[in-house]
Amino acid sequence: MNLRNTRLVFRREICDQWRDRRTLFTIVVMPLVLYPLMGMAMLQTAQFLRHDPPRVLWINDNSDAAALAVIRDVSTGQSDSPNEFIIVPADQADPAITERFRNVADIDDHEHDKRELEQTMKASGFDLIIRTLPAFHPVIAANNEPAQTPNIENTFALPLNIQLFANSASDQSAMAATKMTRAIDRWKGATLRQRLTELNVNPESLVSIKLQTTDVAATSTRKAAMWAKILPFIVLVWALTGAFYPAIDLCAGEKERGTLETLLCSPARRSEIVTGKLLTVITFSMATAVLNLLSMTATGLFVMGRLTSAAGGLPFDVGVPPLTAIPWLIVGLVPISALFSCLALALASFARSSREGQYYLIPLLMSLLPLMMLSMLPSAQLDLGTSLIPVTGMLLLLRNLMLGEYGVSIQYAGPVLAITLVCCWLSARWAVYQFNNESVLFRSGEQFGIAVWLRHLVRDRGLLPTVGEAALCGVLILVIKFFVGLSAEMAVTFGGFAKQVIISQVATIALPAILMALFLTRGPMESLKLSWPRFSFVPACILMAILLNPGFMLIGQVVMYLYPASAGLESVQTIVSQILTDAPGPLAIIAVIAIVPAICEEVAFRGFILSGFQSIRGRWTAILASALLFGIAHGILQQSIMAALVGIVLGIISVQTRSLLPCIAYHATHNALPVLLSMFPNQAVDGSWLSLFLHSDPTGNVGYTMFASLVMPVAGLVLLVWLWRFAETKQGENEPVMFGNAVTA
Amino acid sequence: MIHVRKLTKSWPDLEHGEIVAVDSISFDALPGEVFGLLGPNGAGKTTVLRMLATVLKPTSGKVTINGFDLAEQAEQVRRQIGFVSTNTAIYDRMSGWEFVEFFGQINGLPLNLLHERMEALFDRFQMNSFRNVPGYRMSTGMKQKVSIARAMIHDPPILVFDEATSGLDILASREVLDTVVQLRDQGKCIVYSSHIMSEVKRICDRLAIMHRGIVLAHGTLTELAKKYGDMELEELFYGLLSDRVKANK
Repeated sequence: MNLRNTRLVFRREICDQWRDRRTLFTIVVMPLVLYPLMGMAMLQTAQFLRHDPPRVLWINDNSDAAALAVIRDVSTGQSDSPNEFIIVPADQADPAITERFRNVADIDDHEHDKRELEQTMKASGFDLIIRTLPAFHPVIAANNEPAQTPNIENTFALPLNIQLFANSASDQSAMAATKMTRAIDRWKGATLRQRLTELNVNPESLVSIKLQTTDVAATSTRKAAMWAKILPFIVLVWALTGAFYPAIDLCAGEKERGTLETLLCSPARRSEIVTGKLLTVITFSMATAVLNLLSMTATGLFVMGRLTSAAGGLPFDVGVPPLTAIPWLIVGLVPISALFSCLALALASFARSSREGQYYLIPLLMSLLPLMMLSMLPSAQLDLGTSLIPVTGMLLLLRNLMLGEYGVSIQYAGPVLAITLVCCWLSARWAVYQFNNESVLFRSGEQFGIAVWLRHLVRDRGLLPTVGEAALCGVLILVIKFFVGLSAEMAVTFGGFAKQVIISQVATIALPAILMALFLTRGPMESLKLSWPRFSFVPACILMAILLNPGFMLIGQVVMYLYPASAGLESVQTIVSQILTDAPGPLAIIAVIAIVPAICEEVAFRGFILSGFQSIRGRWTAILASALLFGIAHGILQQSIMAALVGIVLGIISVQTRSLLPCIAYHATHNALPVLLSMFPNQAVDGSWLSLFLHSDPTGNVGYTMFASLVMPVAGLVLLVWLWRFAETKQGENEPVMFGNAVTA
Repeated sequence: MIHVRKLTKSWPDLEHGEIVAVDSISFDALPGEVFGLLGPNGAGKTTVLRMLATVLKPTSGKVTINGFDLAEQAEQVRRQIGFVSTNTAIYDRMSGWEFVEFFGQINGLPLNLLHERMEALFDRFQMNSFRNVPGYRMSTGMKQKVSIARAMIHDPPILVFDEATSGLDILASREVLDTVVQLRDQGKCIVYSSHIMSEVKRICDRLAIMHRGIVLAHGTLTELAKKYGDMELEELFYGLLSDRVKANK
């Protein structure tokens, strides 16, 4: 790559964008103006924020002295404000309501009574209705509770029944109910203490536990915690926005204006052009995010300070944003801006026009938002598992750095940066691919019609599936599996479980691939790789599965350590284990767990899907794409990771042997080994040569020794390399022999 | 200088399965001559020229440009060519001077030589009055002059003009045609595509008549006239096209 050309393209694009009023507005003007304006608006609004006490309608009985006392105390409350509630007795506000509801029992059970109270609240502007009933009130008796005889000497000991009617659909009403509950609780506590004192009982003697919670966080850390959650999120959203608009202008916009072709016929290589444009997009992405950050911090410092001192202030004390956050955010911004810029550039180069490019912003945002939101979950912590999730890991790392958690941050900075750089590299490759693809660069505004497309599918079907058909097959399998999974209930017997597995494997995985191969290709046999392999390949693959199995088991343990199984998943595994104990024999288990999935999944993933990806893309792209889909199809994260890794080995076997049989042999062996291992008698291990490879733990479970876990996979990999080389040399010697007659008409 | 053999370009198409935009065409273009590609809209002229400019990759066929193989040495080929097309627009937010300077730099010219050439080109095409005017404020004629200057800045031995007078007024068109003739006289190899008969007749030394991706006839104007019974170019063009349309029916 000629760096001079890249620099020239970069300089030109920067200059060009700098002269674009729209870009300047989004990147410079908006952040500098938006936050100060928002701050001013907040200051203005704060003046009008009055915490009016909730209005409460009291369905009362004026003759009830206890109720009067409670209501009087509750309405004044313990705060400095004159009244916590404005309590309006119903006999003054609406005597009819008092009459109507004073003696109605079981209002909770009568929808029409509740509707009437709701209407009253809405019509008269009340947030809450409170009904007080003395203990000996007829309504209490009607509720089948023992009617208590009033004891004149101890009336204070009789409980007062208070009912609150709130409208949960109204925030005001819900807040009023919470506030009233707290006020009554306070009153109850105070009254209890007073009564105990009157009875010469020390209230403290009744307290068995005195719970006191103390927040040990420094005030600055507490305030920084809130900003540490919000600031990285906002900065990343702006980094994405800042990347997207210049990317659209530099790719789709140039296509539209015709200047891209001018650049393409210059001596600059496409990779140089893409790099120059990419650096421009990264620059603008970072500039947007940094300017937003600085403007937001400056406004926050000013506005939050004023708000806390202003009358009324804010209902929560968020403090001012910590200044130490800024350098960390800027450092973290570099790789994440690069990632967003690559994605934006690739999408923008796919668009035919700026208008079309705009349509892609929302899907991109919607696919990245969950990753951003994940970091804001209360339970999200930076660990090895979360650090390997793109975007989420970076947000958590930034949060930790802002909170001064440097130990954890340094520990996981490596994985976070590594995964971000891998994603950057992949998206940059995608962007370069888009720029090298002339059907993308010179797409015309063709109209898409279902009928035309269907005709095209039948008329132009090739010997093998296309990449699009392969991807469609993968997506179809995922969608069907999802809906079948939703409707299926967990089996309780082995028979039911076996039936479920077979139906699910055949109907959701194998059938879509077989049907698509039959209807969308001229060579269903070739598409599904139903050919006879060299005889040696099948035993070689079985041996390879045995040798690689300890390695996969070890990786499985690492995966479970990184992403521990949830309680739900563990209970499902326990149920499945119990179901398997009911199986008629080991062969039945192996048939259900190993053989059926091996056949069905291989037909779909290493057959149709891999053939499709292989038809145009390089074999490694095909192997990785089919492995990725195979992993996703497993649905559970831990299983998906393992399946994707096994899928790579199976993909290599499929590509090199050009037959599905060795793949099925490997897959079935791989699935069967854990079952066989669990049935292996531990007595056979102890003291025999097998103890070199197998060991039994104190619970009697048989597993691989460390020696086996390290040495056997090496031998397996040697076998894989042999297969690769051997098949490579024999590749051109003869065409695969299909099962029956190959349909190559 | 340009040797094209069995050049083919096809596109996958949803409705027709495949569209063959250029179907196995062959021609040569030599230094000091203007080779014309004449054909109606959709004949495949732009596709041929885009392939010569390495913007599109040929589906099959062999092309050598000034000794460089189009498929293998695309970067060197681009250095031999100056490409002016209706699709090679100029940047809206750059002045003519900046635009030509940028492409001069991309072509690896040292700054002093570049500025010397730019001065000469801006004088030659009388562009000094609008050298600092941004692209979005230029007229079509001004833009075309800037485009030609951009294509010539690295002094390529081959210049490719695709519908170079499209959208220009008579005066501007004449200037472009005069420039092409001057360049030819300087020994440049020019490939000029147009659907305007009078232009082709005026400036082309040899030409190929294209229709639906194939070359119907090629040769000098005299050779073509002789071969097809002393017909005028316009009659010859219509005659060939009508015959083709009838044959397709």
